[in-house]
Amino acid sequence: MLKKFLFQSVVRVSVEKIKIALAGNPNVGKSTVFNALTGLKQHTGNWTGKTVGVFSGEYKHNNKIYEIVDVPGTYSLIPHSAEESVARDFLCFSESNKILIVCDATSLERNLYFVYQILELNKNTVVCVNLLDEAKKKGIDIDLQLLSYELGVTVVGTTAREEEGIYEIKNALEEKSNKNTKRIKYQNEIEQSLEYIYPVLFKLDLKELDKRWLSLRLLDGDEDFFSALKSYLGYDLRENEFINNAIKKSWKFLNENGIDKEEFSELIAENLYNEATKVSDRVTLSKEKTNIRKDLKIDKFITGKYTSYLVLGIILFLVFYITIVGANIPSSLLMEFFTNSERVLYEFFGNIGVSQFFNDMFIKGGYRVLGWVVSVMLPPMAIFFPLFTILEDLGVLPRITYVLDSKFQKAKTSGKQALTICMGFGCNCVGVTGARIIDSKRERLIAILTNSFTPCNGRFPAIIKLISIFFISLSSTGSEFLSALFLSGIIVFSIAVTLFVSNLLSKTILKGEKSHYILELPSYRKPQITKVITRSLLNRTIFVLGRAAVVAFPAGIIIWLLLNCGNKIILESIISFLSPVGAFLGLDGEILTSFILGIPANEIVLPIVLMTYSDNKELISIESAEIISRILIENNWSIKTAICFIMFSVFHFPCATTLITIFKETKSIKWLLISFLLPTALGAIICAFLNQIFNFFEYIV
Amino acid sequence: MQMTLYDLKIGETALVVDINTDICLKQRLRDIGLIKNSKIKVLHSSPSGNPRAYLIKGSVIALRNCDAEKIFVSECGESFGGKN
Repeated sequence: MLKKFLFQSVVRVSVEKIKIALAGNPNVGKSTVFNALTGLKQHTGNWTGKTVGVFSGEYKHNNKIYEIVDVPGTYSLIPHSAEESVARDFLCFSESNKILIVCDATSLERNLYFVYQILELNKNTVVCVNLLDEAKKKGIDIDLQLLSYELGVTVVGTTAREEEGIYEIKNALEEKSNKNTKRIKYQNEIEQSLEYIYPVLFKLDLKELDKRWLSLRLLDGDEDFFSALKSYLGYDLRENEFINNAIKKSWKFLNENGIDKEEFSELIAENLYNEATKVSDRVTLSKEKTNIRKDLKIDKFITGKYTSYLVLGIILFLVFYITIVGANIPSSLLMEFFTNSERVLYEFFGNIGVSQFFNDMFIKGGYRVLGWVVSVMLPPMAIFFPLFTILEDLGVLPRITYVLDSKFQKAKTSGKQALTICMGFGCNCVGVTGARIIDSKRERLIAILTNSFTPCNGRFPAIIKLISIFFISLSSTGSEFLSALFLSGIIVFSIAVTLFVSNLLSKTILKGEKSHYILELPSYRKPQITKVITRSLLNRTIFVLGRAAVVAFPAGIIIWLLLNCGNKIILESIISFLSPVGAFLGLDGEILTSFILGIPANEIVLPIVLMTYSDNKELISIESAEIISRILIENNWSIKTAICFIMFSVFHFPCATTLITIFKETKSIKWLLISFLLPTALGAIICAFLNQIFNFFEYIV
Repeated sequence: MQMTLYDLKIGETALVVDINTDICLKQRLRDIGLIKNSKIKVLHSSPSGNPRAYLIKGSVIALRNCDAEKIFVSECGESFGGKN
């Protein structure tokens, strides 16, 4: 009885969940609306195609549960990239109860074009006019009531970043369906051509598809559309004889009136735009039609001929400088904390009777590596990420790709690759998934294969440490300044190599010409600094801690076992096997072994190096940079080793998570292998080359 | 000879007459509001002169010059988008 009751209540809850698709053009603050509605911690960005994949969250309003799905931003329902296909499929071919469209109040006309496309689906729709504060600043005022009347659906005005209008959205989504959605009336020829198809559709099971919309799409749809339609309906509509005849008749009529397929799509767009322009003119009350003067003034500086590269360099430098300076103190505090807590835990477990073996393994193995990873890696990540997000929110990142695009044109790749590189700084998996925003398959593959050349967040804390140990005397003033300069140099080099290899790929295994490139430069926006910091700090901390627990802890245990079981035979045989290779690359066997053991996560490579160096069966506890420096120098590290380590760290096989992501994205073993071998070979060549140069100079001296 | 978007100088405004690109780019341009009879203004150029930024229906859009060359325009005297 109780079981039955429980079961029923579960079913009831899942029935009551109301599914809402959140749609809109890119850069309209869609994700901000999403966050404001759900409170879910999801990062919002100011660039085209930030939402890769589909995010969803829930909220409760008047005792009903709403599931809201953040559909990737798109300009129309005709997809051009993998990411936009996700949006199209979700909006056209999935059973969401309602659609919430977010519009940018400052460019209503273009947004309405998309709104009209959605309204044609004849689903339950609410329109949200966002960024009202920005519009106000630009002297634009929108008559929301009139807009609602013109569209025939509920319209809510919001300033999502201030959470204004969010409650009203929730109310609007609760209301019953809107019955008088306004439909676009196309010019006569098109309307008449639909007459051939529309009636035939009544005989078929079309699930929830709107018949008028489907008639239009049967005329202008491409193969991609038909295959999506087929998988939704479960059968191919075009195999139906009646439909086929109807489509033929329709085209005969259109052709007689001088309209071919291309012309047809164009006329549809023109008709939609005419309506969008008419309505937007009617509801927009502004002093000036558009006001982008302030943006242009900043653009003059950021994208200007003489200033842009300087600005770029300064931004890059500042980001790293702040990261390095800011990470110092929390890093040493965390180290102290972990060293102390380790002692306490060790004593505690010893006292409660945990055997020496397990106590050593878990605390001096697992816990110690975990503490290492967290204290060295977390602070720079926690600082770098918010900084980057602020740049994103400001609208600076799209400008960077605008400035750098000519370089990508020369490499015959998409300018959007610059965006995937930027994402790669955070995490290469994000960069690889982010490559979905690139339309051309060839260019997308290039972006995926070269993404690991961008040193991610997991790698540059170790690089920073080595820079500060080997190239700058630790105590000298301004050491952070020099570290940041050095790191910026490495980044510039990595980007140069990315471009070089992309060009090489374009000429060899991924031959082809550059495809077109359209990029919107959004308005500069004041970033929500406190929100960004709390949100990304929280996200990053949880992510890094989770990853440390999942990866670093077991890794620590494995290394401890390798050091303690069977007299280190396994570890030493791997090391001695790799030793000659390591020597050839200016490294040593221990370092290469660590890179291989560190495949689950780049964060643990340097910690493993230090542990394998330890001669006693216990892992060394590392309390400060001085100790790290001493261990490395005792093990014959020189400036050469440090440089080769840094280079190999930048150019080597991607981490396990990235490899899995690459396989998921390309669905091909071939490209997975190439993505593994390409950077590794490149790193080996660079290191071997540097090693020879250093040896040559040593010989001379 | 017909004038293209690429021939326009910074600050000039024109009317789109014909878009002579492959169907894919044509659809893309349509989505962002660049269709026949729409007005377009050259705002500024990136440091290398390629791509350049245009004002289309109130939004700033960057296009590569090789794409801009395929968009034919005719002069229209009036300017829009405020002064600049």
